[in-house]
Amino acid sequence: MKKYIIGLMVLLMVGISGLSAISLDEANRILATVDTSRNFSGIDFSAVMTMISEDQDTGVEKKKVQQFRRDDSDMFLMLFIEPASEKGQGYLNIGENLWFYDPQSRKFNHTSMKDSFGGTDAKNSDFGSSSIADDYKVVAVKEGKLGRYDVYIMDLEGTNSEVTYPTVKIWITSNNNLILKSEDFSATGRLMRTSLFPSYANVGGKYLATKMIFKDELIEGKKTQITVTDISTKDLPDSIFTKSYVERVNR
Amino acid sequence: MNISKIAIRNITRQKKRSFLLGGAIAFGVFIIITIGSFTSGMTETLKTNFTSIMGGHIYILGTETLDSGRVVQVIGDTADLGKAISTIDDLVEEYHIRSQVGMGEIIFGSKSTTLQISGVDWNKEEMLLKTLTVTGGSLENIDNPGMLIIPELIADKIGVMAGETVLVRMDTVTGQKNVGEFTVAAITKDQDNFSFISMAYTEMGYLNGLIGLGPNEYQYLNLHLNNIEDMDIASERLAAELKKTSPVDLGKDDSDDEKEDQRHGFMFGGFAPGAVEEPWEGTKFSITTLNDIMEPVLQLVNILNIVSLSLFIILMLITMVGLINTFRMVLIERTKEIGTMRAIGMHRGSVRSIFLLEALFLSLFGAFGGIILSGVTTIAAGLIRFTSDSPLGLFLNNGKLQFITSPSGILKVVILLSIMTLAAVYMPARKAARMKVVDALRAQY
Repeated sequence: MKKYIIGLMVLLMVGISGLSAISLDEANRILATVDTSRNFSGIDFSAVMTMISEDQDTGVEKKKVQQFRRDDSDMFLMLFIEPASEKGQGYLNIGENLWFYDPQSRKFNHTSMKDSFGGTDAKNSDFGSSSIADDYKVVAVKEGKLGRYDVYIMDLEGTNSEVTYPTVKIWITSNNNLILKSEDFSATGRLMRTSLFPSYANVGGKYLATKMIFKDELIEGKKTQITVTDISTKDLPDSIFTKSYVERVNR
Repeated sequence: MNISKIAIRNITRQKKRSFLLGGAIAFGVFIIITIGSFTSGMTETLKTNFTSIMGGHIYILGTETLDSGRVVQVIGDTADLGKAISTIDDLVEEYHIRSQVGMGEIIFGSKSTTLQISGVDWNKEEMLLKTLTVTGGSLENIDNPGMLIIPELIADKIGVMAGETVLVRMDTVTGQKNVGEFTVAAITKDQDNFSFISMAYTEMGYLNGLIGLGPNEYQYLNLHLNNIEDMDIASERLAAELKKTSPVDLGKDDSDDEKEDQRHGFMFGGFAPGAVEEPWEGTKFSITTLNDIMEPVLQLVNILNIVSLSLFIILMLITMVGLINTFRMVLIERTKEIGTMRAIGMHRGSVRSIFLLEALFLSLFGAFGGIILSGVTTIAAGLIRFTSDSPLGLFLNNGKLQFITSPSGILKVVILLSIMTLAAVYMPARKAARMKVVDALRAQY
């Protein structure tokens, strides 16, 4: 009898641990706070990003990018500083439009937020303002641990057919709602990319991932590590978010 | 007859001088005919390659706008299009429906490369099947879902063999990321070495599922005409009929660069469809012809032809100045001879004809030399095999440059050269003809 009781208790505990500790509504509210804590509303933001890409085929590549963001107006500018061969290239986003500037051809070409950023494993959308709560809804949530952190593990589904990845799984810290890890799945359900955000900085009351690792799950050994430095929240002149500025810095 | 013989004999009297003058003329003719052959060959190769890779001469692309304002490539409702197409049925040899992944990434282990995948209905692709030369695997089960035909270039890059499984990363029509698993059914010889686009083929239904299209939907309808000359007439008739029911864009109407870039982006991959300012109802059709695509190349060819013609004229002008001087000298050298010929009864006109014929024969010999030299050069250059990743890839036919020398082009050059020669030598010839017999016989030089 004692054995059965212990067995039942173990089963109950396993069952309880598998149940979601929070409701889906609550999980969706947490998702909204992720956007709020990651978007720099009311302030401008600039930083330097160092990207180290590893690929078994092409080896290790290092890029340095100057980033300017004004989330209130949904604008950003990413200018390549290094390597010399890519210096002056830039991504300018104004609202719905994202252009890539090539100083060689001196032309701006429309590109998509879903495309790879400068051939790395990061997407252009990884560097703009966050809209995860608009783009996705939580379909399942459970509590768990990621390393030493207590996290909510959420399965997300796109709210429309235009989101980059139809389904996403994220690990959010339960104490301050920071995304530590995300797995992006294709429409056929295959894991395409794993992103890790191991360190954050508090910048003007907002959280900014200062280290990001994007791992391509389809190509063996392909990943990109991004480190963010020289962070500033000083006001940026309006002229920065213009095509003429991008052209001017290349003269 | 005698006059011609005398003219030819005169050319051989000063062999070195004649050789140099003829050589200069030969060089000019060589330049213009070789460049002309190159540009003609380039245009023809490009037309053949585009026709082969695009599956026809007229390309009809369908686009719809979503509620969000996003543009997606799809032809779902085919009733209006079918009705319009029936009006040019007499001009069309084959219809090809296709869906497409513009910028896919094929992955095998740790290796990957970009490629374009066309989803085709194998039952209607007789022409395409004829152009595919299998070097690995077979075309036996290609109509099974998930079977992929890839060019050698791609197979070599990623080290895959027929029968192995690859992954392809692609975007759906709405821009979502997706991955498809394919089995390499066959590896084919690079299609006409058309290396700037690496085109792979698969069964359309399977590809449609991956890019978010329904089983009966497609993105392009390509028309292969019986006669390529009917291209403009057919596209105009089709557009006129289609305009009765649907919005239509014509390739030749694209005036601004961005719109043209968008169209070519849609067709060749790499373009990110975005929001439009003015959404439309139903399907909007874009009709593009091979001529529209070829227009920038044809402009380049025209510029090249103008440059080579200018170069030819400049070279010939310089040569003609030499020719005038030579025949002035000839006039002085042969003054006594002219006097003697005139004294024994030769007419003024015959003296003039000897001069003119001598110059004309010299030019024609030079032209003949230039034509032979050009022929040898183009045949030799045509034998060189370029690597498939050569920057000339766009202009290669089976890895080689193609030269097309048209007889009418040669005739034009010869006529132009003859006119210039006769004009240049006319004055010395007239002077020789007008010379008084007594003065000529009395001349001390």
